[in-house]
Amino acid sequence: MSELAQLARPLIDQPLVERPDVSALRGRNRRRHSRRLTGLSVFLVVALAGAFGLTQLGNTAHKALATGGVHLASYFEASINVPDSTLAAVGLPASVSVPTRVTPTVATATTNQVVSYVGAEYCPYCAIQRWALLVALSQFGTFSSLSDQVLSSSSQVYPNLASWSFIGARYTSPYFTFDPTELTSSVPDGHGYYLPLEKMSAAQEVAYDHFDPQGGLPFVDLGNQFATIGASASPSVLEDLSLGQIGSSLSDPTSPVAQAVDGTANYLIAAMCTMITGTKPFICSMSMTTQALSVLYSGVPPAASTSSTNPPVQPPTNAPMSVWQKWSDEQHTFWERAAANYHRMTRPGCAVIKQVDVDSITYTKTTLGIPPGIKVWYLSVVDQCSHK
Amino acid sequence: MEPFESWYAREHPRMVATLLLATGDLDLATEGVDEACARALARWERVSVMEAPTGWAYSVALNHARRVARRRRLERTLLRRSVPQANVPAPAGEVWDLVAALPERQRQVVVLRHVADLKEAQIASVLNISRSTVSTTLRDAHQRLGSLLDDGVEITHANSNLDTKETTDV
Repeated sequence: MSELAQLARPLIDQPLVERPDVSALRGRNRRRHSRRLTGLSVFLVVALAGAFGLTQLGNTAHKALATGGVHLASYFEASINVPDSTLAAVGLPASVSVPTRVTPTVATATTNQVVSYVGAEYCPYCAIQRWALLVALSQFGTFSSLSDQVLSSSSQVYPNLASWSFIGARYTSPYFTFDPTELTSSVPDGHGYYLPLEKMSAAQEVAYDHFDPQGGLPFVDLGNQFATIGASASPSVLEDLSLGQIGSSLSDPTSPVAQAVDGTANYLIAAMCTMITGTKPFICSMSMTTQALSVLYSGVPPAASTSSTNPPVQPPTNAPMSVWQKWSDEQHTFWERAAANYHRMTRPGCAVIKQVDVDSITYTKTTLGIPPGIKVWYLSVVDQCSHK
Repeated sequence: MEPFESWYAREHPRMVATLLLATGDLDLATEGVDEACARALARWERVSVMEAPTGWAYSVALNHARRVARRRRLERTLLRRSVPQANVPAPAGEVWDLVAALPERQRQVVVLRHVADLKEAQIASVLNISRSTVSTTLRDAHQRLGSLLDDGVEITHANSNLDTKETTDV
């Protein structure tokens, strides 16, 4: 062996970088494939625009593509074809939480053009957020494959909600990439957990750890500009409804399902519009989208929420401390009531809940838009997972 | 057919070390190796039956690293972004000090021969140059580095061809 080889030997025996999991390589392949499809989509859209004129294409191109040659179940078709007029009629309900504005960092830069979803099949909060994501994402691209029905866990709050899994979903958009991860199934593994399904990609995990340090599900990261942690609206609206009933309700702006799902989608759509550089689709110029954008940037919701099924809406970071203190008190009241009523709470991967308490945390510097010194209340759950 | 996992576990550290010394940039090296391994995973049925799967992976890794480096240069030109300096952490630093002075092609051939432990024919395939060019390049590097490369390397005389080419990925 040459001296050079001997000198280089420590580099091989003690690698400078950790070897990525095979699953991370698979995620890399998936993203490359998605980028290629995105490039192809851009080419097709440009070609179509040249042939038929940009003005005619604007609002309807993505919907034409969405149904072209692909057969999805009727409830999915209903979701991807929610009329713009319905979205406008639903607007921005006060019962829907406003996504949090976050600040991208160098560490999260690789997902700046990615809509990322981290959830689990057992999780009822993920069930309603999936519906809203489907409505919103369909405004910007095409789902060509969505899996069959799954039910949220039967042993959690809001049991057996009808939803589906993003596993196997194929989505193409000329604007951004969609990277969904379902961490676990809804099938208990017999040890207090649920059977695992997918792992986050390395880049997704960086953003998840950074923006969602408490590890809440579902986590939706919109290009590292905005994020939602947990459901944006109460999953209770989905109780006792089938997939078909939910799908058909989405186009009725007066239905509780549409208020929750389409209302959430309006915020998600506005956040997705911020990820687009260059010509934006027509939906981005609609009034409810521009209103939602205004709310996203200001953090001021259209009306104060005093709902008993949703936590109080977080004030903007620069709100007076008296407003923040009031929010903290309302939040405490909300979670106390929730802890008393909820016998079982959702927690990633855990099926057996032993105790539910309300605790608080106070940040020493502004975190997730919350100024220092403000008590942030949350549910503390003791379960089997804590002892495993 | 060897499972991908065992090939990956065995070759990854050596590939990163080789790319690091070939490019002088750990980020570039990691990016190139990860991309090559991801592509190998996606095509493992075809790659695993190649005569030299690892040689193919080096070819992909070097090409990808070259493309990323080119993109960075373009970004620097167009966007006036600051470009990271050579990122070669210890203990690679001292090895890098030895090979850094070599011209790029000589450095690539040297590390593929002595760190990746590829045969001359495999190096020729990886870099898309003739075997005689590999031999000539190794001989020139040998004159520069002297005893550091003494391991009975086979050296033949041939025409020099130091043009940088990209090989074709699978």
